Amino acid sequence: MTGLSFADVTVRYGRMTAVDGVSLEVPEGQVVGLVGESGSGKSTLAKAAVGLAPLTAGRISLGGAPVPTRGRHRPLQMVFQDPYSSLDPRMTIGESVAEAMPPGRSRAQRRAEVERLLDLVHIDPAAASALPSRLSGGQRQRVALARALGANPRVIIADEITSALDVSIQGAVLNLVRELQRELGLSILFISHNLAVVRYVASHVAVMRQGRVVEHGPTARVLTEPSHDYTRELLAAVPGRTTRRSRP
Amino acid sequence: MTVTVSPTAAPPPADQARVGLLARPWVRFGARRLGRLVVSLWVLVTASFAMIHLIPGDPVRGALGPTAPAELVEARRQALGLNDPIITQYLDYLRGLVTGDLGTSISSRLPVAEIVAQRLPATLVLAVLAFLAAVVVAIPLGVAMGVLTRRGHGRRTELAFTTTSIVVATIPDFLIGVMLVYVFGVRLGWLPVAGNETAAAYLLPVVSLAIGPAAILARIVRVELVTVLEADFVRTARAKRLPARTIYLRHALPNAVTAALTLGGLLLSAMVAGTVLVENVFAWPGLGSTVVQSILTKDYPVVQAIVLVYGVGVLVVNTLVDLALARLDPRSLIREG
Repeated sequence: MTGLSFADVTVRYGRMTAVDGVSLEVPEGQVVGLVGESGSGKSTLAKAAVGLAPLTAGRISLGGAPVPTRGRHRPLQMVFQDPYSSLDPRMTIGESVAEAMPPGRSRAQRRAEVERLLDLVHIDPAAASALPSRLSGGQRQRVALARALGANPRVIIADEITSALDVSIQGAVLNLVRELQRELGLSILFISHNLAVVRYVASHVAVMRQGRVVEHGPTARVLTEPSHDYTRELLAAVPGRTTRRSRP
Repeated sequence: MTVTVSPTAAPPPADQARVGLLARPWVRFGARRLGRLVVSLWVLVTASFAMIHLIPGDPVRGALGPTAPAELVEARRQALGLNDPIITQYLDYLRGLVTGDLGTSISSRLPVAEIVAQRLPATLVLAVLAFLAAVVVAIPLGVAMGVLTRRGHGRRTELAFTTTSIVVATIPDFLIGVMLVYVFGVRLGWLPVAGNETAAAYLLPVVSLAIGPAAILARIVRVELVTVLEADFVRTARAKRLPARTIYLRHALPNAVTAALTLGGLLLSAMVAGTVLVENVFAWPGLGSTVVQSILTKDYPVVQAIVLVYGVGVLVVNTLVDLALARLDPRSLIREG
């Protein structure tokens, strides 16, 4: 069974090519890490998947079919970097979580589902009636995850979801991502510039540079035996890692 | 591991039970704002009282004319209480206000309260209709323009809209009134040019009063909407694949109208003042035309009372807008400190 699949995806903004012929698979039930420096095209690839960036060429498919762009079924959901601004400040947490839920449920069912989701991300379900301004960054990012889960997605794209958070809270959110993935069997495309973070959550990793995927494989192999110079450079740039420095 | 939500803006329920209603920030804000209203009203009342004493010369002599016999002037001064010590006059004035006695018109000898009661409804109807018209036109127009000109879309539309709206907004309302009278009343003869006897007679005064504020309001709504459409939570909503209508109406509009509401309140107060000029253009039988006539005939008790009514109107509107804002946007409570 195939999950999210990018085939020869190209995104151009005017004369600037942000993503250049990228092919990438996120298999069902797997977490694929996507790493690369700023401007390497990671986020653009993610935005193209949810329709926020125009596709110049190529195909993005979900379970073999194109990603639905309208209708009440929304199988691909994205969680964004900044938890402070990504939630509507005027909508209660419960409303935000319930908004993208599939149709055909009663009000009570929706409320129960909101409570279940908040509980799943370790937020007190009583917070459903609060506004996001009452929550801390880590709590908001949990709500953002619950909100994405509310749409009952097959695949979640997490775009730098921990980089706006304090280190201690990053750990808690990453544990939550791992836990959710295990419990729900989610497919996740996990974008980060932080190799340590990707190593922690992803079974596979793809390395992007200047709009192209330069290396792709199981996390353990890519991070211990990098075959591309750029991956080696990235690894060497991780603070506190002095081993395996084999730059020319 | 369970994370409990700790509300920071509102005290926990136990606390609330102890200190009661006043613990709610909104109630505290409301009480403070009403206190400020009372102080403003006192200043207004005192200023309107002082007005009659600050005008040069003898107001009664001015009203009755230079040829009036001295005994008559003296008798009228006595009747108006102008010969009493100033503090007595002030207390009498306050007592009169509290009991609804606004004095007697110098020229018509009618109770001023009666004149105001007779004239006020026409002015209120005019101001409220004009305000509603401005809001009903401005919000959809501003939203439509915001959507059309978001993120560098529709550069030409934007230029055309901003230019037209600023031109319309800067024409004084009485001038618009005169132009409308000329075109639709005199040239085309479609609409009545004076009075408020028929429904059609409302059209021109309401339009001339509403058109400027509508242009300003639409500009603000557009700018706010364009800003909100750039916000991350709108991007989240788009990434959720919500329909465009839901994004604009549920996410963008409520976040955009706060500033518009603040301005709307100011515009409503400005409209109250605008009625004075527009009423005179259209011979509208309201307070505005009465106050001008009373100034011309130097009928100070009437002028005093109408100034007071206008002032109270502006203060009350501003307070209501502040309270509504505090209810809709909790951030304004914090700004108030």
